[in-house]
Amino acid sequence: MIEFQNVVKQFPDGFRAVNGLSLTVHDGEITVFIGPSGCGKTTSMRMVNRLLSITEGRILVEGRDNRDYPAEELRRKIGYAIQQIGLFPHMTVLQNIAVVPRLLGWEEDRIRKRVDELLELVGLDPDVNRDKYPRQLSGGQQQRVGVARALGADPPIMLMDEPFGAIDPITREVLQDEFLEIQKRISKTIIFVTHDIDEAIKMGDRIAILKDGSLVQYDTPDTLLAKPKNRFVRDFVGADRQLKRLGLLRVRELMTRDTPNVSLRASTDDARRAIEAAAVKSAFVVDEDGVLKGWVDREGLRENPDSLLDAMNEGDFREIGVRQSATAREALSAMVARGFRITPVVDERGALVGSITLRALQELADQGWVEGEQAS
Amino acid sequence: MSGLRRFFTPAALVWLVFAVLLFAALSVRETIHDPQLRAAGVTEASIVPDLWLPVFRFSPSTLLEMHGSDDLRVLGFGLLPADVSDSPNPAAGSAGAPWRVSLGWFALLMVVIEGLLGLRYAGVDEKLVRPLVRAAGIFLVIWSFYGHEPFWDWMLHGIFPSSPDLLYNSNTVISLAGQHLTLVIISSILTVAIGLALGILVTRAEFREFLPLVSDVVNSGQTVPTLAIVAIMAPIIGFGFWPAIVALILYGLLPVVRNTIVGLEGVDPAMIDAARGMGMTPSQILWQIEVPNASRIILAGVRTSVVINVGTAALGAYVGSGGFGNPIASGLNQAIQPWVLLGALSAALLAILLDYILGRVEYVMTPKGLIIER
Ligand SMILES: Nc1ncnc2c1ncn2[C@@H]1O[C@H](COP(=O)(O)OP(=O)(O)OP(=O)(O)O)[C@@H](O)[C@H]1O
Ligand SMILES: [Mg+2]
Repeated sequence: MIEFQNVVKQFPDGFRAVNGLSLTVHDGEITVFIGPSGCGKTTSMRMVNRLLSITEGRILVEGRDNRDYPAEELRRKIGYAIQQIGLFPHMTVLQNIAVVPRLLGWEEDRIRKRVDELLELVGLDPDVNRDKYPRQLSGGQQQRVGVARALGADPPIMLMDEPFGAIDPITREVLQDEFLEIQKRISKTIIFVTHDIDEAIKMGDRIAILKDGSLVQYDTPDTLLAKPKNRFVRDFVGADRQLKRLGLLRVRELMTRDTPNVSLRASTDDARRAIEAAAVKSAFVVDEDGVLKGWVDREGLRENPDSLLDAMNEGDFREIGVRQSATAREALSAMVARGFRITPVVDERGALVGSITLRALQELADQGWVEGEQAS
Repeated sequence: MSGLRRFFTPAALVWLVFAVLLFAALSVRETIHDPQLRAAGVTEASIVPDLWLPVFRFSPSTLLEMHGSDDLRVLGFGLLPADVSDSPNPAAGSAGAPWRVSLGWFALLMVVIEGLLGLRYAGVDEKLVRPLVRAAGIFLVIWSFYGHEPFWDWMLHGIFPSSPDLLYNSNTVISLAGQHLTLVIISSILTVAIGLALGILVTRAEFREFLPLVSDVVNSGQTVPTLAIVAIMAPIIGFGFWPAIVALILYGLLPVVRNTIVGLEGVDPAMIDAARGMGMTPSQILWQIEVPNASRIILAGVRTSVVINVGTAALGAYVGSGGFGNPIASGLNQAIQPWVLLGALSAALLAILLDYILGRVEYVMTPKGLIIER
């Protein structure tokens, strides 16, 4: 746990970069610091491992004032990764990752094992990369080594200042996904600085929005998007915040399980009855294993009153369905693409498990929008 | 066919041409017309003296004499070229006479060595073994020219046919080289030590305020003409070895200090930030991160400084510190051109040789990860 208590940073030139910051970074969570350039994100972060001195207030690291630790000792237990990466070009990948373990006096065997383990973790083949020099790696590979180095001695806490900032958007997405996967396993307490709101929403368990050295709002991404505290936050998260919010929600949380459906073997009458009973326009068609095969609507039934097979529209579940783990945004995109108001939800076999409707998404947005408006 | 082409690398070809020239020169003979000489049994003589490679001879006594002697023993660590050994006439053919290898045969040997290396490293941009072998070869050739009185005699006669005092005989070339090298090496060691310390000190946060001052002083050290420094030093410290050393240090400090500062200041701040953030102490950051990353630039400064010192050391003759400045000064005084030439040429060769060796040292000492091209 990291606790900022009324932290103030005044630089020697008199400029107050951080102005009474109080917040708690919870164990095992990624807390994102975000805000416009110059708002004090980096300054706040660098006071945690005492790369910058604290002018007023204090920062507790695992319950202890961070000034009670010897500076070097404190830093060795806090992983540190920065946008410029700062790999040491005269050291091999192994030597780079081994820096903190060596400072801590680990044995060579243990260091080697740890380095290989970390390289695997960040998706680099140890045998290929261990003895390379940083200049022999691509930007993305260097960034991975940077993350591995920060994790070197398995620190409980990590500080990451725009770690994926200098990388092309596609690689950045990959690295973000990989890092989230890693974090699931290692559950570090992380302060993650970024100025990209999409990255913040994706990476953050909690987001702290800073402005001119002060905390404006500190909430989970969903709350932040649904209920921006004021105009500044609303502008900052962007006009498409409802769409962004849909990107946070999983289909699993929004779908309905009782979806009108008929078997391939059913008669057209059965289908008509099912549709009328649910007071909808169409029903999904599944085979004997429950696998989605297509859909049938009132119009189709009217034109082909004798055969369900002729009446139905065939569709592969991979094309027309979405998975439970997909985001609401992806479901919406599927609806827009095909002009439907409903999208079937399937499991990995393709079996129909429910559906998600445009109405459900709309209601969600309305609710967030109204509350957001009221708050300002 | 292609194997043969790979064998005859440019370097091998140069050695081959050199060997052919040497053998051709040796074959130029003149017939002895003088009846008296003929009567004495002298028939034909080669015009060009046979150049031979002095074979090193190790003797314990030279080890003991390492200190206090003014010839190469000071630096030679007991290795003396055979022809300047204690024996007054090493070529006398006595039982203890040293071996000599004709330079022509040595050049042929170098053709073979270079050729084999050419085959071994065909198409590889190899920057260590081959340059070192080449440097060793060139050094041995230069070595064989030095202290080889018949050769100097012959050459100087050829260039200055009318001048009577050809050989500078108040000291051997080897011994002059020893004095010169002693000046250069001692002053360079001190220069590097002082320069590095100054450069490191003024780039530390605590002493940064002295950076402009040190830069100015070091810069002005080089603006003052060397001769002036030497002249100013003499009345203060006296004549001899040490005033020359002081002048050399003052003069050679600039490149070392400047390059140390530039090198250290040029280290990526993000790298230092990362090192600090990982919990390295300031001295760990200095020696494990900053110095290795600045080493290339620092070593380049050292190299420049040493080469400058070779030239400057020639002026040491004016305060009696010996070296190649001696024949130059005496030659200028007495208008004997060969002496001036001997000193100047030797100093120039020494500078080139040292520059080359230091270039390799620079390469070996620069961390591998920094040499990789991107
Ligand atoms: N050493 C310093 N002396 C004076 N002012 C400073 C110093 N370092 C930073 N500042 C100022 O403090 C403010 C906050 O800087 P900080 O680096 O924390 O910004 P940031 O939020 O990380 O911005 P960015 O997104 O651009 O990285 C800026 O206005 C900056 O100009
Ligand atoms: Mg910043």
